[in-house]
Amino acid sequence: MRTLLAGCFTALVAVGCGAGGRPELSSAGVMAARPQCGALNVACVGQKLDAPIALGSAVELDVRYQIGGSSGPPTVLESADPAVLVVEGSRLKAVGAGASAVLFIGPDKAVLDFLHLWVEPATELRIMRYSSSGTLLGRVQSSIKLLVHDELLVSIEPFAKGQPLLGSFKLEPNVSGNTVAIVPDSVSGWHRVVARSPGPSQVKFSALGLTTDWAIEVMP
Amino acid sequence: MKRAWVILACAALGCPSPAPKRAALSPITGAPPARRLEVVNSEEKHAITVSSGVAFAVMVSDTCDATSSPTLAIADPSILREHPLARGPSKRAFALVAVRAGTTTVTIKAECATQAYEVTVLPQ
Repeated sequence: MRTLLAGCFTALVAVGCGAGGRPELSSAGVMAARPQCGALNVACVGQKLDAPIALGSAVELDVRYQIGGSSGPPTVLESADPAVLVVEGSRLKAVGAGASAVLFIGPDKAVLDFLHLWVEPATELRIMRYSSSGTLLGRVQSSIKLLVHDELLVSIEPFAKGQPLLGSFKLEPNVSGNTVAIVPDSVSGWHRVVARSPGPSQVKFSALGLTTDWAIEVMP
Repeated sequence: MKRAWVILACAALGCPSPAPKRAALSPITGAPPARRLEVVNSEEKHAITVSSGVAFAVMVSDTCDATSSPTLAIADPSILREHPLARGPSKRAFALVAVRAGTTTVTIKAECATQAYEVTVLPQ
């Protein structure tokens, strides 16, 4: 990732690569979210799994166990159908459309629990705006006006036929002109859009085989 | 001589025949939405139909001794995989995982009975 970012900054002026997808929740947000538990209610994940995973993206599962009289045991994840989901440690890569169970396997090779996850190809990228405290404000319009030194916090999120999708993925922003800068935020998934000088700019975000355009005019 | 009398008495009056030795598996979890899981346990047919990518837990029952520890044998583990289920002290619970489309068999091997199921794994 560090190499990827360094490469992006040298290749593009005032543009930074980063990760696309819904921003990661803070631990407070995780605890507030209703956890998704496995079929046997033994393993639960600390993040919302309220949608399919975008094909081509990845999800890091935050697994928590609730076993009476025991802490969570050492566990490995296993995919039921590696043509849909590939497991890399605690990370799941969505490689094919469909559904696959993910098994939580304990030290004696016994299955502690399992969970079914869906993978769907994205049909659209949407630019979503957040407040500085991380509250979702809404979808950004395709053409906006900013004043010099204005700053927006946005994330680029995949949708399939109107349904939001999960997962993080490599995002490539491209800006024509130097009136705005796009900088990845320290929180994965967010980008800061900073208005630097007056003039029009055309921003393109590319990810998952899709592109979304954004016209920004910076006013003096 | 005494045994012969017992056999004659049974033949005349009708003694109860011993219970048939049987083994069967039943699902204890279901498939996710838009995916299929069907287990048939009838006199004529024992079969499982399941969509690829689905995992499900089963409990094995049999009419053997209460201490019996049945096992499952799968003809083609590249189509259907079996894992023991970490579910308390019971050794009768298993997780079955439909890996890819195809047909195979899963056989319950209990101390007093065996039972084969035809398995059809449907494509994604």
